[in-house]
Amino acid sequence: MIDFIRQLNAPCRDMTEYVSRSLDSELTRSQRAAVQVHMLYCRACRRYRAQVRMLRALLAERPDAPEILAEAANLHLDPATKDRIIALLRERSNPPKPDNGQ
Amino acid sequence: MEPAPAQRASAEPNSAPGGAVDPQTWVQRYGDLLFGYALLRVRDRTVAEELVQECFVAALEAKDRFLGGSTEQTWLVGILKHKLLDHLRRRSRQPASADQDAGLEDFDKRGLWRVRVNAWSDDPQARLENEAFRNALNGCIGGLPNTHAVAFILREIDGMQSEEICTLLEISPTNLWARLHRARLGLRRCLESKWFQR
Repeated sequence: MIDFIRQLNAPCRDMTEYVSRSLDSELTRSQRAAVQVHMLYCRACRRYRAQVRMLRALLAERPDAPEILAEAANLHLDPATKDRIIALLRERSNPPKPDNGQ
Repeated sequence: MEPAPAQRASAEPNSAPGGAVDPQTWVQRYGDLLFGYALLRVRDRTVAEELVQECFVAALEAKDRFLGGSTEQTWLVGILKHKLLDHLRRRSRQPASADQDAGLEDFDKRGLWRVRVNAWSDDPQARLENEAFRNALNGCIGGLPNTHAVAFILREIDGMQSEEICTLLEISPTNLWARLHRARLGLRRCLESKWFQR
């Protein structure tokens, strides 16, 4: 009960932390109740909650999100690094015959 | 008329892992994407380059075990992901003192919002399919402090469980929640100015 009363008075900074945490783990009963009460009168925190849920939903709707975002980052391996890797792969796929000097 | 399945399959060039691999084609086709994947998560070009190289070498050695159940790209990303997790595990714990206080700028001393939080309209363009949105999102993730960004990527993009991330990064759940909270606040603020207020 004391926890609940203290959490009830927690500011938006803490409430947004509870909202965020609820996406990653279980809140305690008093935390959940405090968030519910806070949401009744705080429009900014209600909007924050809708926004972080929306972010999660739009990343979750594409299982290939990691690949999509990696491609979209438009980052480029340095050409010299590419050449080095290509040379290494060639060497590994066609190991030179042992040269015993005969 | 629907194209025959065989035609559709052959329309996607695949250099047939398990068969001969042309290193040049591989590196040219997938090198940048793998590099982007690694760099977003380790944020160090040299380390990202090494991981991409390790990934290709491992793929070359394992190519006979590729069964074609996924695309070649997804297969390579899977190998890179293993290399990346190994790297994160090996890396000694990094204190994040500089990032610790970042991310709470939207609140005043009493912990109340000092900015206006706007309602995001249900924007059909806010989808990963939309290039402009992808770029805005990537830009906003890129602008987060390192430790916040990595926590967010592992949790929200890679879909890892909180416990796995804590083990991997050697941080407590409280620390992870703090990083994710700050990451979400930072992304919210950035997307609101770069996208939802257009």
